[in-house]
Amino acid sequence: MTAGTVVWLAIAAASAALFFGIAAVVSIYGIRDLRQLLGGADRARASRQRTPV
Amino acid sequence: MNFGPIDWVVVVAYLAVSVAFGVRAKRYIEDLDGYMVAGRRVGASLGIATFVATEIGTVTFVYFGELGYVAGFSAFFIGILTMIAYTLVGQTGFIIEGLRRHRVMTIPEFYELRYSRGARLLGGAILFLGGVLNMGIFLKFDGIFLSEVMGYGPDAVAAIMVLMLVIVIAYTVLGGMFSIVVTDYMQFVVLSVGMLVATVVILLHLDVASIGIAVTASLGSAGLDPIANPRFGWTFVIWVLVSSVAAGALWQPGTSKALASESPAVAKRVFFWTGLTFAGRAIIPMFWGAAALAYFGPGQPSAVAMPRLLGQIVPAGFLGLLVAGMLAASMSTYSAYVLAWSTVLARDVIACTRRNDLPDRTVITITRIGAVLVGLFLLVFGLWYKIPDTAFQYLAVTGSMYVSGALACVVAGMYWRKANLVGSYAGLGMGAIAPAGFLLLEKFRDDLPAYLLFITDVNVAGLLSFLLAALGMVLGSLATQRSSPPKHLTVAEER
Repeated sequence: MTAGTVVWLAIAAASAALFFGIAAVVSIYGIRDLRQLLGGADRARASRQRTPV
Repeated sequence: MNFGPIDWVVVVAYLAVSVAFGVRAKRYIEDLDGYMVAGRRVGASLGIATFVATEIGTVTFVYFGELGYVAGFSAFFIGILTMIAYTLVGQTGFIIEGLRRHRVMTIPEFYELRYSRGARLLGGAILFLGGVLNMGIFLKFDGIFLSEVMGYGPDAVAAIMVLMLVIVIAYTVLGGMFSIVVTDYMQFVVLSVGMLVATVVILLHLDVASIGIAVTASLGSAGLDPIANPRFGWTFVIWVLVSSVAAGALWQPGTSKALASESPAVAKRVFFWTGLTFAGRAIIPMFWGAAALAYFGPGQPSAVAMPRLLGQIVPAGFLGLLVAGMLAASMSTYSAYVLAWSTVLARDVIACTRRNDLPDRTVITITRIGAVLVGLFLLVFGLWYKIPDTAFQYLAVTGSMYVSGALACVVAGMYWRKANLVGSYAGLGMGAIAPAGFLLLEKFRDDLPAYLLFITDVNVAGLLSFLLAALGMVLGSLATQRSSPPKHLTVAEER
């Protein structure tokens, strides 16, 4: 393999590690955000139903 | 036939859960904000997940895989430049922070604030046209990928296209941005697992050294050096860099994720971290394409080689997971894109032909009808149109039709006090000319006079669109400062 090939392969490995690393973290913390989003929407709906028009 | 009963169980289960979640999210829609931008309450991690899921579709794997197969490692620079562009936008808040502060839902809305309703109509029409043409090949490429991976061959492409379209349109029309955000998260997880499965299986079948040797043996220095590769060169490198910054800040489906964020600071964070994934988003499927070159050698149809490789080496069970991941990728992309373009059609084109704004309910109804029409266009266009050059270059040139003018209008509108209405019309119009010229004239390449042949070079047409748009904005504004005084944003408009 040439030096150029090795450099590109190293870049590919680093890019893949970054992608899958961020994907793992976002997968874990995204659940919390999703709960907050849907919880907030539920609360807004409930408050609208209680408010007389 | 590669696709077994276990694979079908995995795919059908995934589809059932995904559609159920999407349709269920309908109950959260109370108003236009809820439908278009999820009530602007999306946190950073969820924003990143939905942004990445939106910008990775099966078509992404196909066009990057195709580039890996025909250009080897030299195509990797696209991923690096895209990463740099998006992280820069995220770090500096260039454009997106201002757009989020103005609380616009679409980019042409900014044109009305800064220029006029007419500029919004023209910008909306160009955005809609460029966006729908850009998306026109998605369905076809998804059909090719899935039919090859599943082993059904070219005969199944049309049936797969129809099936995918029905599923995606159903939950986009019913749920809007809320259903997209909810399902995007799930799809992000599934597509990441699918990508991991494909990468691991490829590495188990082909060692890295043999892929490197195959690239240099088949392509020589063009497989490593983007400047030496005749498909690329300096024109393409500069065009990719400029268009990545422009698309990073102004591509409606992506920017709508920033506009849905709970604050401008969260919008910046979403862009920065999403940007860091963009090198992998391009380079991972390019590597799969290079692996297909090592496995089959040159001579395969370029778009088909990588999916064919996956179909042959991924074992039963995992193939279902991979296909579920690809379907996840496509569904999240389609839903966000279809919603983005139909929103632009409703709010920036149809509503702008009237003097008064349309009621929210009417806009949502038009958006839903628009989503169905866009879907039907994708089916017809995908079956009929034969793309010039590589799929990536087609997507980049159709995207430039809009983002070049948008970059000139929004950057000048935010950062240059002399930008005026005439400049905005000139920038939008001149930005669209070169890409439109390429798409129309490329089919008649052999009949064109020599002095017009430059426009049939996709890289020249793409780069030219940005130069012409900037020129139109600057010259148009400077020449008409008296007859068309610039309108400035007031504090009241920065809601």
